[in-house]
Amino acid sequence: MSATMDNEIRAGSGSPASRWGRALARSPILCVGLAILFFWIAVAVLAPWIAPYAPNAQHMTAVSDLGPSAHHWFGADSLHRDILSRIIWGARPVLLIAPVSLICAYVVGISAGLAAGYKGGWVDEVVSRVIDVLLSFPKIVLYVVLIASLGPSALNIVLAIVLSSSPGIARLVRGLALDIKTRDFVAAARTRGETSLYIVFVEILPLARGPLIVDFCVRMGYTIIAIGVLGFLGLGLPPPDPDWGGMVRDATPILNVYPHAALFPSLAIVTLVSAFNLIADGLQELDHGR
Amino acid sequence: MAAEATPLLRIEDLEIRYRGADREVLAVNDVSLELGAGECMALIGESGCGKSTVAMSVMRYLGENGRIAQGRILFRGQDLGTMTEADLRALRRGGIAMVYQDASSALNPTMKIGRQLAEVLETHEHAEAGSIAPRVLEMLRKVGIPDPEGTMGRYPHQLSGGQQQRIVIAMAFLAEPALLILDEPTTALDVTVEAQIIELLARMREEHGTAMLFISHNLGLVRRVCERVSVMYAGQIVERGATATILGAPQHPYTQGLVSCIPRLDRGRADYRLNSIPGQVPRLSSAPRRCTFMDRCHHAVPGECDTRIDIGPARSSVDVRCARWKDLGKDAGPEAPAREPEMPRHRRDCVLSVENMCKTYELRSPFDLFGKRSRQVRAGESISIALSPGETLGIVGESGCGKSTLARVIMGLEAPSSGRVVVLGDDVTGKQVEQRSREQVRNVQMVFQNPDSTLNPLHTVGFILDRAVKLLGGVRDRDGRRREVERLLDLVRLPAEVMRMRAGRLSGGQKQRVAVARAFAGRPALVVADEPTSALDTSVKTAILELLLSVQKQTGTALVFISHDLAVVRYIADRVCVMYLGHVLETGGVEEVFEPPFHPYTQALLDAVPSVDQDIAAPHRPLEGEATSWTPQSRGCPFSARCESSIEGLCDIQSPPNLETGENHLIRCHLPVSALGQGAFA
Repeated sequence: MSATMDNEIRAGSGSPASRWGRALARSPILCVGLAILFFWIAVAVLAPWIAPYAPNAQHMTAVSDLGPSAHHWFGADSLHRDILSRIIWGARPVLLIAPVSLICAYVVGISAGLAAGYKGGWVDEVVSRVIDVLLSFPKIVLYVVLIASLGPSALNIVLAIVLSSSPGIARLVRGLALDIKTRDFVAAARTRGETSLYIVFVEILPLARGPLIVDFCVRMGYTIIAIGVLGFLGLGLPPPDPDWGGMVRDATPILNVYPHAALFPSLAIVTLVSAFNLIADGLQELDHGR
Repeated sequence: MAAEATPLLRIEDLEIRYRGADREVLAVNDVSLELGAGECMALIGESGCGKSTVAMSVMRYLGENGRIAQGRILFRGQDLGTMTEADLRALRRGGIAMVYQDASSALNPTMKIGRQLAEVLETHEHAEAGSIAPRVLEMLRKVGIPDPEGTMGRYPHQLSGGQQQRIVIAMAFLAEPALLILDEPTTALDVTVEAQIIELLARMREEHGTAMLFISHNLGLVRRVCERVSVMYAGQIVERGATATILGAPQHPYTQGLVSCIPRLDRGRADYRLNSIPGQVPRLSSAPRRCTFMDRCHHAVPGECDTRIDIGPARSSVDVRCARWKDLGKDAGPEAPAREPEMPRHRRDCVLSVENMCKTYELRSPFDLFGKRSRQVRAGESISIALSPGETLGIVGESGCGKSTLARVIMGLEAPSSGRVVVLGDDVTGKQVEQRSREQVRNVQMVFQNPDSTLNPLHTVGFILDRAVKLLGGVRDRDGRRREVERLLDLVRLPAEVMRMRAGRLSGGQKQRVAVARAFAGRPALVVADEPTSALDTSVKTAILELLLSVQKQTGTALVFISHDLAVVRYIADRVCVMYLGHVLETGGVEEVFEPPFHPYTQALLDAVPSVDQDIAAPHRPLEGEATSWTPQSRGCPFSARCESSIEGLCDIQSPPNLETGENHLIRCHLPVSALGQGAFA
């Protein structure tokens, strides 16, 4: 018995680094997704050093022709600003606002979902109806109404995303909690005299982490798109700071002549969104493989 | 080729490997067997021994990561391994069919029964539309479905588990198979339904001349159904031969272990002692060069057992894979640890008293928004029980009889609709566990049924027990808690190393041991065990039973032991309560309940249990029908609808009286005491 036990202990204790290594080796999709994500994180962090120009500087070298050239690899926009530098600097707000707002949305969604799922009864009724109401609004309308009334700012973008994402998260968490709370260890915790808070956060939530992590990655993709859409509608970060969605919007009047001005920021959004989708797929694949 | 000389199924030197996460696992190795037309052979052994893998390989259902590394499987002389998909499909018609353990997942939930059965005929025979329905109906009648026409139009979820299994069997026989593989077909069913299914299988086999490969861990069933048996251990066949010989006088130490850990229905705890097989089935990654059972065998002798051992003839028609089978008789048996003497009990105190407890569930229809006209289902109707310290009360009955509801009401996980629950003199009726005082919570603990959900798989054993010690044991300081956790692990005979292991990595038996340790952490006055052993292998089951008995002896805790396994209850309980549809039909001391006079229901339950000693031909009349739900409008004896001796105009109208047939022995029945217990069981 002790021999098998030793084996079990050894099998379970592989260092986290080696477990990650094995997981990566089994899922090429996850590797690609993570590679793209780390590329953009590096770009955002190193922006002051790798960007060829200041993001808001206007260049007279690009007056006659806005197209890509040796000075401006990705060309310049209608205000003669270097698009490459603006994309590099623009990675910063996206990679800051998207995770921050989504984490806030998760805090709200998880709390509401756990309360509804575990407590049931009238708590569930109230939370579920609020979720229904919020989900019945088209998201775009929610964004426009909220930001148009509060004014465009980073904080208000976070608010808009929390309001639009947390109902979906709450619904997911509620479903998971409803399932997990029927297991015997929850009854055992109750008969041990644990508080509801302990049961919900120590017994139930950790078991829901698998689907939640995958959901988080998928939602990161959506959130980045949402930030782009807000920028495109003029509800994003206030000018002149670079914002990928805003760059596409600025490029629309000259789209016939200079498509590059919209193409490159769009590509930036597409690659970052795909990175998160690939990570989500990869994680799901690993989960099923097990 | 002479058809007589070719066996129906022939497996030669089969070796099956699975690709695991980091290494290959040898699931089956060196397995050879032969099955003639119309024969029935059993594969027995603990879980993880490769029984199901052999069956799956015959169906060629090994999955993506499994492969036949060596050997051949011949069906009517044709090698299954070299067949094309088209050949295989042809083979499934009139060839091989399979019945799985879980009928509900074998049926398509979105298809009506009639449609699913008709599909078998359509794909296999391209039968004409007109001829299908009558044949399906006939088959449904054959497998004993009460209302065949109506059932054709129902969905699987509208049928009970027993009926679903009948449908699966009907489906298998519609394909007219020559070989039927049954993978634990009755494990999920109640004893009475199990007996019905077994009788059905025997009849179908007689009518159709089908050969069967029967996988089971229930040796009593195997004895009743199969002529021959192969015992598998760690992927190998360790003993094979005629069922009566092998189960009656097993030669291999593993088979001996399996047979000696079956609780007996006909003998009480004082008359015998259950043995368990220590340790676990090893997982092999390469062909063993020594006896695989050596580590768990008390007959093992170094030098003799650590060479390659082949299976060879031992006695007439019995083959055994053991180097020392000739000398086993000379060895002394395993030294059974001395049992703690039974403590005298103080009958005066009452740990638990449940009076007239009744729990009704409201079934709200989805169309009934306000729930006013809800249908009620009663789970516990006027149950009254009382329990003294150190005493064990066994509660038996079929599923749906309200056993688990009773447990949950005692625990405060559910509130009763009426009646009184008193624990240690405190009235806790209607008090959910959250509303009970710390002392009341500490005094009543529970051991749950399913080992896979009883512990949070992400927590370590140390954390789980530490939490219990802190909250229930009231130990505050770190060192004290650690000592207490070590004491608990020692109590349930687990090594201290498991503390660092996550619960999800433990085996079923280990999980249940931790669950027992957790329940006893606060030295409770009462532990409620809800089928704590029903999901475990026989050998592990006996170990947990012995553990519960010994922990109980050391702590003097009262135990409510809920089970559908009568033999287990006979072994562990002092008093027994037989429940049916929320009613207690018989209650008394364990010896009184298991000896005549019986309530007709008790007798039916006892009759349904297959015994390892009973011959195949033993007369047997299974109880018909299944327990249906009891509505508050119903009057009379709840069992009257299924009772053979039911008196019309009395049993179905009037509630039965309590017959007192001895001190504390009560039978609720209209029949005179002299008429009770005249049946076959004695």
